Amino acid sequence: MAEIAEPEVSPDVGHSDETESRESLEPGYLVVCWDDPVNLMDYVSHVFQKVFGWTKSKAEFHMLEVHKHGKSILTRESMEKAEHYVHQLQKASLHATMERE
Amino acid sequence: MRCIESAGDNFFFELSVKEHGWFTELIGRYPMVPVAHHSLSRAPSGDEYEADQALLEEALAEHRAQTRRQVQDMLEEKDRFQKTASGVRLRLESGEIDWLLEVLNDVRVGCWIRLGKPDTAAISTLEITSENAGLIWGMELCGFFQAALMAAREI
Repeated sequence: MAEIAEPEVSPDVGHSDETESRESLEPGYLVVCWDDPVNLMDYVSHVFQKVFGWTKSKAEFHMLEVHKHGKSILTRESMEKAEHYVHQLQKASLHATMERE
Repeated sequence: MRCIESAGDNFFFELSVKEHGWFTELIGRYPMVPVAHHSLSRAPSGDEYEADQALLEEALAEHRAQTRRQVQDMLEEKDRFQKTASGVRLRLESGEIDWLLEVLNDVRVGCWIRLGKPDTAAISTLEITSENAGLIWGMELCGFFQAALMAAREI
């Protein structure tokens, strides 16, 4: 008895239409803003809008998170971009750091 | 200090003679925050960290030198501060408000650092002495001028 020929299925390797960018494969760096008792709330919100191009409401949300919870994760980026943002925030004298995810 | 008029990108402020003196003195103190005050990470890791930290400090130092020149130019600019019958009139463009906010904040944070970085509760109960009076005064007045600039821009 002849065996019924099974359809040949190639393993699903390679050839995806979607290519992941190098950036998305790199370890993520979190840009964190920490609370301090000296920076004015409106000023912090203003800096967030300027550095990230956020709306006032989004900037205020993160500012309040810093104020109430001691810190806020502002964004997750590649190392290079996270460094850029931390530089910008620190130029404005905010207490910001980048932390490896 | 209060904004009395805005036209397009220009904002006009009225300051009393005393406020003018305080304002110029405070921005003249820039920069006050030590470059080493900032660190790139709370949990440094990797061989590249020290190089990245050095790069951060270099970038901050360069930025401060440039901003310091802007402050100096503003203080030396003829007609920037115009005397009026009631005090002094100051014209600022919105971009200048942005870097002045940064300058005033640096002086405010710098005063706070020199006060020993007191927390919120400690700030309100600080005993004023001849040593710290200038720093407390500087910190509070910078906040006052920042608030006036932000109110003008409706920040």
